[in-house]
Amino acid sequence: MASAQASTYNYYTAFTECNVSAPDVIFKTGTNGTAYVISMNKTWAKVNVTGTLTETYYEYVLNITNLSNNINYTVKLEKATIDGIGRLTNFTAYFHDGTPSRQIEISNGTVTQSSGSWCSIATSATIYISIAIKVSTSGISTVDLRLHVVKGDTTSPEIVQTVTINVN
Amino acid sequence: MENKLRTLLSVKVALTIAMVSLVLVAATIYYYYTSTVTVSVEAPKINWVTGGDVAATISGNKSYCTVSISKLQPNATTVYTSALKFTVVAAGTIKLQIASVTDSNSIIWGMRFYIYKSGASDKNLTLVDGGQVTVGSTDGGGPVAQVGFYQTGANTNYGTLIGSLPAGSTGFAATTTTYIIVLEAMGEETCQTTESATINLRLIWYA
Repeated sequence: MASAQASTYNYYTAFTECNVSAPDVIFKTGTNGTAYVISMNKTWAKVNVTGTLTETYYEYVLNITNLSNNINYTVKLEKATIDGIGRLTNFTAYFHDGTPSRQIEISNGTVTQSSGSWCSIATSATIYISIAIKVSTSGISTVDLRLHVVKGDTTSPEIVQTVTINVN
Repeated sequence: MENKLRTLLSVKVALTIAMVSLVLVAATIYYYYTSTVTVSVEAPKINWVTGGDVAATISGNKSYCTVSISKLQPNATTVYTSALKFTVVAAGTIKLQIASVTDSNSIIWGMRFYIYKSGASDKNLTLVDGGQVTVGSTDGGGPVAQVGFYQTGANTNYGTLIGSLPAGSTGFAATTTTYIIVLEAMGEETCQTTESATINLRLIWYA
């Protein structure tokens, strides 16, 4: 409710039309995860990986593909919510397409890097999410990530897609 | 012959009743007392300005505009960090209102608008769906107003259930400068590229 003293109200309208576009950057199953769940439009993914007492490096946990044949995209990962990470001696997520780009790091149960730098995905190309894991005890840890996607060198609009990684 | 006379008599009776009714209606008295209200035009208190992300169609007096965004995606959040701007011409109190939404296919899972005061600083915005984006050219402060809506089943932190609209932000003291409108929208899982929705957004200015 407006101030009781106000006597004049002016209304200025902005009609916003909202249209749907097909995703250009999508998730595909990798070869190192299990129990993949990928939404039908491939903009949301969940995957399980196995942690052991010794350091394990999974090179192809999840594929990220640029479907466009004329638009380059840039992407980065960001930590959203986490659960049960006290047992994670090391959880490091990379983008990998030759040269790894470290995006997220959890060390001895503490988040030491919560987002990565922007990396490009060329037209019709695929990059991979790779993960290095070492756990101290058995259990389940959940790391909920966001994949930020922008077109070329622009900064907006920004598409934010969800990747959930369960460490068994 | 007798029938014809009977018919004529019926018509006469009907006409008589109608005339009596007319007299009764005409007997109501109306009094007219005149007053004069002079209506004059003043300049709009705000001007819509095209944002950095999308071309807006703005009326000649800059008090009305339409904007079309095309990047809503299923199961993902799309953020326009400069969807639209407005310049405040006269200081006052302003609130942002979602007056109505036409979304017959329920393509919008949740949507939220934020208003930032312009400046030379970046500011991080934590999204309803988690994650952060950077809003550029702000005064360094957080949003001065925000309002949103959601479909049944979505994160209620977007704002108001779509069936309960309109919804308005709290009012903020607006100074004569430019403000940026940020839009966060999540597409429903089955939304199609052939579908669209329209949001009737209003700025309400009051002194």
